[in-house]
Amino acid sequence: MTPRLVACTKCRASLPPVLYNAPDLRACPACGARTQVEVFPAALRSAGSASIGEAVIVEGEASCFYHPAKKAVLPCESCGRFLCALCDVELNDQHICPACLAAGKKKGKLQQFENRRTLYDSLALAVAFFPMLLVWPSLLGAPIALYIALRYWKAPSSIVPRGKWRFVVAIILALAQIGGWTAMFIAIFHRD
Amino acid sequence: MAAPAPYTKLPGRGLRRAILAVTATRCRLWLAADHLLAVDYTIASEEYRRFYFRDIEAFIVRRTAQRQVWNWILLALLLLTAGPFFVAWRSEGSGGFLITTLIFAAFWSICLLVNTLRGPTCQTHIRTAVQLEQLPSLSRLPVARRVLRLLQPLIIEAQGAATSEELAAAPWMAATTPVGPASAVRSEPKPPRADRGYLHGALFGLLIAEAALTAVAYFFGDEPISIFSLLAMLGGCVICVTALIRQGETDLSAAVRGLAKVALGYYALKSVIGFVYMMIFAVRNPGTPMVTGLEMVDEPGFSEVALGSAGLGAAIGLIGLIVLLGHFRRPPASPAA
Repeated sequence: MTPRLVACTKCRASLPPVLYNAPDLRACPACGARTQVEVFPAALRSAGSASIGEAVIVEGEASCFYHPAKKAVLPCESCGRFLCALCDVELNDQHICPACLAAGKKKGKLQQFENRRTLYDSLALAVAFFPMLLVWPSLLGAPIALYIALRYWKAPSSIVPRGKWRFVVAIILALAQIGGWTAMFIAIFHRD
Repeated sequence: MAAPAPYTKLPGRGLRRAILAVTATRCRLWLAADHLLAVDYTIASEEYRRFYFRDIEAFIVRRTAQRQVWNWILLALLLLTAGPFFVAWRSEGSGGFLITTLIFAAFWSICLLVNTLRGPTCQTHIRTAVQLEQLPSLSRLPVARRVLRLLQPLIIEAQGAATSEELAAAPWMAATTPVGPASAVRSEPKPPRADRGYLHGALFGLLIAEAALTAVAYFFGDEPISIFSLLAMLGGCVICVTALIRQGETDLSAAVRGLAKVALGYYALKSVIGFVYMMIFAVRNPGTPMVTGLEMVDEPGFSEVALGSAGLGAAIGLIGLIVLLGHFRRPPASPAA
């Protein structure tokens, strides 16, 4: 039950438990860096050894779909296959099998496993804005920005709350640039 | 009624700098029902790291000297621009140079003030059984403490309070005893801090005073009064930034807070317009000294813009004072626990 000691983030020396959960900053005994350490009960509880699944003892007893020699403990909540303790993956209070987990991750259905998303609204805004600063690149940037904004308007955005104002600003900027270029070309052709 | 958003934004934002990287990624923290989400934003994508409450072992907050370093740098920049300003002022040097140095000095002063008021800097790390990650968004001590106060009951609720055996092995764990159920902490926000709005009152008053001084200076061509008008604007800028920083978590009405933001927008717009006119004047009249700004009165549209902006400032100040009067009449809120 002895906790794994917390190391100072400056000198990497182990901080003594007397500094833990103190109400204010305390100096690290090794380097003197003023540190506040908030430790939670998880630090005291070592992870239990992983279950390897119980073997089937009575013939005819339900066994795991993936390990026929192991006793089934519950069904997969996605595909219904029987699973042993080894194959049971708990996710948000749901029990699923590794195959469903892999399929869900591949199809992007499991938001809990997503670790990256493309933000098309920011992309459209960047393509509409930055070329405008150099004037001539906006001839190409504006239509691309408009395309991105319209093409990905309904595409999934961030997993955290996010409005659509970037798309709107990108469309307005792109239309303004396209309008400006059109007016300029018309003026040039009319002058000739 | 729309379903509640699964993530709530936590205070604080920061930058994660990669070695030899030209750009830094912006970082924010979001709170979910059972985990903390660290989001790193690049130009067109975002990356997520999840820290489940049941896995979090510790938070380590270490105070750094970054604020002091930046304060020294900003002070040096302020002195570098304020010095030439006073030399030019005393020798009645070029007006364009005078105002340029004044604008830069005001900019560095505001940066210095903001950096000081945001509180001491720190580095915050989160530790689980298998990782130690820095949380760049918690880079200011007051913000880090506020977030930890918010997270502590949620983590304790997810992990369960320390058992008697655990407490015997680690007596310091008693300090993590939750103050109540996490759901209660979530549903009952921290009571707002009582604020009588004196700072906002000073801001709105200065806006009106500046407008009156500008009008008098232009109608009577009075140079000293024009300088007082400029000083009122600078003072108003400083008070406006201070009021905006301090108004968070106070019982001030949304209208008063909003008007403080409008005032900042007004000052920013006025500074930009003034700078543009100053540049035009400096180009058209090279070598002509400019001290008060009244020299630009013959520039086309300058008087109209100056008086119009003064009228706008007076309107913001007047509306602000009227709204603030309603706040004054309310009984003071009980002080936050």
